[in-house]
Amino acid sequence: MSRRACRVRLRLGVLLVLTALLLLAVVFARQICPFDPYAHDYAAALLPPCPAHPLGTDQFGRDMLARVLVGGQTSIFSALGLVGVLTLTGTAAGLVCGWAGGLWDTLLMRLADLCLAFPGLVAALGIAALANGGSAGAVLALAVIGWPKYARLVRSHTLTLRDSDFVAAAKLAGESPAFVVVRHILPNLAGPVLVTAALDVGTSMMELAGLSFLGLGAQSPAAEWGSMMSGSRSMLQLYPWVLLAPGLAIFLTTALFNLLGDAVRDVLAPEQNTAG
Amino acid sequence: MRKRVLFPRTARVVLRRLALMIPLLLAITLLSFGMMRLAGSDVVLQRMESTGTVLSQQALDDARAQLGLDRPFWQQYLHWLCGVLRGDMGVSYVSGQEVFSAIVQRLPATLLLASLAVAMTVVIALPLGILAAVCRGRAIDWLLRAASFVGGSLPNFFVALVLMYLFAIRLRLLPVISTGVNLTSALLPALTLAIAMSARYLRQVRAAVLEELARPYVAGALARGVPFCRVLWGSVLRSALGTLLTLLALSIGSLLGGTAIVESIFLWDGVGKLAVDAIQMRDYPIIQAYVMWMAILYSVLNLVTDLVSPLLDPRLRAGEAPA
Repeated sequence: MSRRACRVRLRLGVLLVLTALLLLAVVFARQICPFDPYAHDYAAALLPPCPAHPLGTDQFGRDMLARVLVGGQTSIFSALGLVGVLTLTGTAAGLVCGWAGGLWDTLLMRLADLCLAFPGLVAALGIAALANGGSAGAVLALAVIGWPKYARLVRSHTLTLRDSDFVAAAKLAGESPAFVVVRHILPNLAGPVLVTAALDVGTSMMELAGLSFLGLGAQSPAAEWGSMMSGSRSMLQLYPWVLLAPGLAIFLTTALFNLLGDAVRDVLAPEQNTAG
Repeated sequence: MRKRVLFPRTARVVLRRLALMIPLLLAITLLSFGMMRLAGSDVVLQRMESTGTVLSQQALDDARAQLGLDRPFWQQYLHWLCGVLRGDMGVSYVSGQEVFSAIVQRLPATLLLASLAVAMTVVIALPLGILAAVCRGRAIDWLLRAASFVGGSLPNFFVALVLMYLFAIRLRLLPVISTGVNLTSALLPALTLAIAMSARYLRQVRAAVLEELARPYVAGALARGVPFCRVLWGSVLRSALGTLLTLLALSIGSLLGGTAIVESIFLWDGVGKLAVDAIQMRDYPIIQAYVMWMAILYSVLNLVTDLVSPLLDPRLRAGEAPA
């Protein structure tokens, strides 16, 4: 292994550890921060950052650190869930299109065009209502618009793989189509799909926060970074920390996931790195 | 000669793509019609909630009957569709304004915002991207790449609020919320949109310039004694501009759709804000018009990009472009 490959792997390792720490902090939010993120305490309203409240308190006296940590559960895990859903549905649809072809291919690709042309805001509202509000609706809405990208990627790779020599050899050896797909096609798809998914986590988080900010995702009083910022918009001038805490949380987490995505790409598909 | 062969084919492709738009538009409007009806509340309830008065069930039903909301779903859709085919997109439930004029009236504001954002992106991303490529590996390159990374990780509503705080509240240079459709009010929202786009394109311009600089003709020109600046301005810049223009063309669709958040924050009276307000009030005719406008925009821009990219890259002309 070259020195560069070593460095890339080391970077990926460090970022994975940081991500794991972030996820642990968010999951054990209640243990880390003793304050209740939902309890109102008007005596402690709008305190600037101090030793007792490292990130200050909001207009209802709720500790911002507790809210940011608990809000991270919604924000981070919905983004991960969204990318998971996109990966699974997109891969399944792309495989069907690329492998089976014919009518299925035409139908699914037309459906993909339909979903791509559908405005996200309208989908978010309609689906949020079906899912009874909350961030699940926003995740579903973005999944509806997002899956065609993965389906197209997987479809084009599957088309190439289907005509490759090793697939022809496996077929000649009498393997069943299901076996060929699972044993030969899927492992070759894992790389490109994983790279795309890793690069998408940060963007997904920003888009979900944007929908919540407009009131189309997680709703107040639920602690979620986008809706927290939306609810405290008017605090900007006098109490900026109420806004900065969730804002910086989104920024730092997105940055971490973007760096992680870059590192995954550099390990799995270094030829796609254009920064060189 | 080539033009004469190319044209009929292009015309055929355009016609086929335009024909394909018809089922797409039918499916999309039907889908959004259904989704809005499933969204639970309707404009009558929303209006009651926003005014704070409590009305009897009879009054609510009368209001629904007046708007035609009591009829079966498919009748409502057919009624709307027949109206659209006659060129009548209906009347807003909330303001009573004609939907078509409501959209057309706000279109210039959104177009001004979007074109200003695109202009800012070109002004920011192109020179900085070239600078980063020319100074590759040096401190300034590292700094620019770090800045573009930070810009790419900031959600646009956060950027909007920070810009508002700095320029409008601290420095008092620009209005906090828009004072009408004019350039000073457009600066902050356009800058918000431009920051995110510049962050993305700076890296791509840098990569395009680096790729071009690595070509043999550059080494050849330099060896012949052509000054570096002339190679850069004469040849390298032209190819980098082509890359940037293609990227911008691809992003105009998402830009026009994505102005909704920024327009709502700055109270910029454009199509995006109109849509967000309509969604919150369940103003069906406006939402339907917005969905149609987004779908048409998406299809037409896709078509234009497919038609223009062979002009920018002659290699695509030889192969059969996927229709």
